[in-house]
Amino acid sequence: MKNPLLVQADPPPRLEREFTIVGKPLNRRDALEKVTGRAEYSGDIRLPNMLYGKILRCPHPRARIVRLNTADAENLPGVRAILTKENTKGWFTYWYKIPQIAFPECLTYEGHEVAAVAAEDISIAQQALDLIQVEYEILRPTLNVEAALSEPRPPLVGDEEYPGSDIFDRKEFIIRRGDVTKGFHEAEVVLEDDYSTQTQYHGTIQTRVCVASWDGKKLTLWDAIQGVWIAKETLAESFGIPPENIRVIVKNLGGGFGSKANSYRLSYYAAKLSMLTGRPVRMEHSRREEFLVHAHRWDCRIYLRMGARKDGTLTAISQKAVVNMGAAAWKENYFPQMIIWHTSNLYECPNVDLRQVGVFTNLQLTGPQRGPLNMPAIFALESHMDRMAEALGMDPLEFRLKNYTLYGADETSEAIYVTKSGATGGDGQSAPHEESKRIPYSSKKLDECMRRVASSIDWAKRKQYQVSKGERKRKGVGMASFIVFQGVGLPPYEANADVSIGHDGVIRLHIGVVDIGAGQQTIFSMIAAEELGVNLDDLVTHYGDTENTRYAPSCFASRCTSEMGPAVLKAASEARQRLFELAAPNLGVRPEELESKYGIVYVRRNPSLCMDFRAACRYIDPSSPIKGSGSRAPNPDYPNFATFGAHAVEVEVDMETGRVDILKVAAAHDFGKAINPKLCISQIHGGIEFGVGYALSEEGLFDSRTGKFLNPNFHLYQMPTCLDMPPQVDPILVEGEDPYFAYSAKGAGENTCTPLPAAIRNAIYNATGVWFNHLPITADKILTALKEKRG
Amino acid sequence: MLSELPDFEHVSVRQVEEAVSALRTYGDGAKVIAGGTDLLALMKDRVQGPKLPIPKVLIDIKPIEDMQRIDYERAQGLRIGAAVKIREVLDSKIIRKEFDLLSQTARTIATTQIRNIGTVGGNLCQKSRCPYFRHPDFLCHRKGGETCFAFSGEHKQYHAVMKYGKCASAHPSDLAPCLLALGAECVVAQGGGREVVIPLEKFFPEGNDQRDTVLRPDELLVSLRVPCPAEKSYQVFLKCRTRHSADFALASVAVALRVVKGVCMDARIVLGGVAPFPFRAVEAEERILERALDERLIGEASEGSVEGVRPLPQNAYKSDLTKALVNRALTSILHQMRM
Repeated sequence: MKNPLLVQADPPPRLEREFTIVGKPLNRRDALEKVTGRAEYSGDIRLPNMLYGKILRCPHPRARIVRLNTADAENLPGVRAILTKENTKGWFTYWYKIPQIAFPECLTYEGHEVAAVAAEDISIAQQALDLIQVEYEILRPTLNVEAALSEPRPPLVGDEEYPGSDIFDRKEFIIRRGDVTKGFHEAEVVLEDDYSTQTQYHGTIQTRVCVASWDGKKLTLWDAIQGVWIAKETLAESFGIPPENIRVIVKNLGGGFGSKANSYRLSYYAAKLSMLTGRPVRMEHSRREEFLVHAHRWDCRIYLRMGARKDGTLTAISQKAVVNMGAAAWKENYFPQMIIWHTSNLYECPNVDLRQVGVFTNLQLTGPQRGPLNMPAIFALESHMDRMAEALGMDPLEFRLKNYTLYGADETSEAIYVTKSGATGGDGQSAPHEESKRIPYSSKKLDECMRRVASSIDWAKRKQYQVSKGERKRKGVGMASFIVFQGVGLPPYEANADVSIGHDGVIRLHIGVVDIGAGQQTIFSMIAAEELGVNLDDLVTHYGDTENTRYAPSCFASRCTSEMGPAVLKAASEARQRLFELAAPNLGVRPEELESKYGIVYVRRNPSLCMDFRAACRYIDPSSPIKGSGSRAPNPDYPNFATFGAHAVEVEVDMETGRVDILKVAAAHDFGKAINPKLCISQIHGGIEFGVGYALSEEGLFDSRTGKFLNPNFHLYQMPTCLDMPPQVDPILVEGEDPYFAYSAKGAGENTCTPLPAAIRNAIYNATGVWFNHLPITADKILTALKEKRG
Repeated sequence: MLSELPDFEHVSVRQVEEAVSALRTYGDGAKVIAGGTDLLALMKDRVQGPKLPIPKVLIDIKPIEDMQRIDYERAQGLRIGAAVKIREVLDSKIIRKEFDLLSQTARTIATTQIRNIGTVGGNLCQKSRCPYFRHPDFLCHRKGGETCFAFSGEHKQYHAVMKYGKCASAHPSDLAPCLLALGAECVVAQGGGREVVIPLEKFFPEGNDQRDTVLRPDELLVSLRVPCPAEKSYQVFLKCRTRHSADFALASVAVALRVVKGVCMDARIVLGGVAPFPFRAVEAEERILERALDERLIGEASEGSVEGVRPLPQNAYKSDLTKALVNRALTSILHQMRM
């Protein structure tokens, strides 16, 4: 391919020198301000004359507002405005690009918004909420996913009440390849089992917060959002004002992990209240509200059946995954084939019949969370791979390598379709059984990842642990792998970056992305500085702001580095080229003879012939700074883009108390090239924290009768603390070339958590001889299973 | 986050007598506050009911110097003010030296941050960890309602397997079994300068009494008295939790044995997390009393520790877990004795 970087216009020529910045484990640029507490978050913003807002929420998972009276609240001194369904008819807020009724009459989850109040202080706002009288008709909620699948859809279900339900509710999405009947017939070992995974919550340090200020023409929002540009566009849509009159700012996010993937009602309410009162309005979720209304990770039930020949070659996989979608799901936040995509692509298997069905319930909202459906998908798949290996009498590592592939599915040729009315109807269109094509990945080093973690964990111990029985505490090792696609390219797809260089020598990088906390501003600044040949500190980076930037993707799906990287590289390269054109005559050479590094522009063949980068800038017209710009196109159909990795763990299980201690995690990741290894390794540590919680302790609890959320706090929802981290973590970066990304850098952050739960589970099996198929693996499950095993 | 709190009046007092008279003046709507780690969380979540009004007045007892002190005299034993922070218990040299069980226990309480402000009195008087109790919308027995939602709902972690009445929740305190094993007594101020001493064993109501402690609304827990352990005393505290770093007990056990010439002369085995109050496993104690400890006796005592267990559908595992903890605690004492 001529232009593998996928940038618009000509791709920049490759740097012919060694890296001076890229690949260095530099401190993140915001490290000092963050650790000294000086970093300003949106929650820190205080504007003169600011009002405080609070939201009244429905306490029932499903109800209808029969009567609503705000008179007493309006009369409370200090109350400035109240929003309810009565005075906001026809107004829609947006979640992703999908409209939600701003204040609906029919409420579909506990915590659903009923009214919003702005008052002189937070305590008055709270009192006002207490004075709003609401009479609810309590409706029977849908709480049980499996029961719902065999029931007719409730009569009140409608597009408005449950947006997206007509597309997704009880609809089965299928990936089919080859002929599974034939595949199972060919198999010598066939094994099936059920798995389940729980809800998981992000637990960001800063909850959702927004300060909105309307000056009569322009709306400015200091928000907590992973993408400023998509927020700007949907706000414009919601309020019917031109996008150029809206500015969204996110300087420091305070944790996202998918929970802030897009703007949420809170921000729209703050904006509306500011418009009504003509004063700035600040709104913030309490921790309880954050737990209640932030989209959490879907709980899933996954059935898997696998067939293989005696030599370990997979011949067939069938799967059915049932996903609890909660009260809302849309194209942008629910991925109807994501679980089955992983099963289709992690290993080579000619015959697959994979089905994913989502069910609407009244159990809150669901949506992305670090490795959204990857976590449940990989837990089930990689758990089942170990079971298969055992049934085959093979080493799990050997079994995985046996079915290794450098190719992924060509989704355009695979039979992917939807049945019209889901599991109960079964009236799906017949699948076109054409020969499916296999498309190579742009780069894949998963085999090396697996070998490296096996070696780090001392995989040979596995056999020894398997036979050593009887001790009170038993050790075990286990592993798991993962795949995740790279760069989503969802509409409106644009990834733009700009670099300007002024006569004064100031270099500015303008990127409309939010630093989710993984260090995006540092990474893109490193890419730009590398390409310009200047020092990192020479660069001023504008980010997390829609002013002075162009459209950029939101920071989710590990897409930022892979999508924005090439755009930044192109912008920097273009700006450098312009500068070389100005500098070259003054060095008596042609521009193409120049190079730059460490802030010096020099002649390639005679580096002593040089000038300071800053000195070269003096040739720039003071009234017209140099500009370079870059844009990247969406992913092409060929090749496939993905990142990969494997984790291996060693655990110790207390056979009498059910306590699991993770002694060591070895985590090898193929991110392509690490722009900043220190930040990549930080991401691995953070991902491990997510994986440990998912595997061993975190779980949203719902009352089975009322559907109310029972543990919306850090007291009863058990997220690991730093003291629960494994004492030994061996982060391994398996680097390699990939011409499709900026300096070969693929995305790194998100899926560092994905394989860990299955690896832990497989290690627990190695220690105890019991397969645990249901997360989280808590002491009660372990003790109950061990007792059963003893008989 | 303070913004989530309902409005309240804050009254600071310097003397025990002042605190008690303030409690009397303000009546039902008043609560004492020291660390506030439990109280403020309940207020923020608006946990309330006929038997549990949201306090309108908080009486701050932190300035009462007498309640902040740890005193020790060989003859009288240890006196810990109820407002002493868990951190200070951990830091106390005399406690580490003479009352090791307290140190062992304090280490397992909550997080560093909470230990830095949470107090001994607060730990003993804390409320149930039942998620239904702590949810504003479930009016359960403990709040003056008519139902226990946990029996047929979620009760995996923080509920009882024995001795429960209408309410299924287990006592969450770690210090309670520990101090009970040490034979502690509570000094309670009643107003008019009166003080009464209540053995800790009688401090927590049993049966269908849903109060957290026997304290009347106008009484104040001032301090704990702990007698000096006998010379040959062995003490062990063990606790199991879902999140290892910081969590309430799924089950815990505090053991204090006085051993003379290899024979257990006094035995206190107290269980946490399995009953509505710290449960003294008398059955287990009797198996080893006046006998020389050995592996067989330990086995019998462990089996006896949960005599009469009636687990709920989700928490049967606690019975084996408790037996394992008792076994381990006694076994580690046996090893210490043999050393």
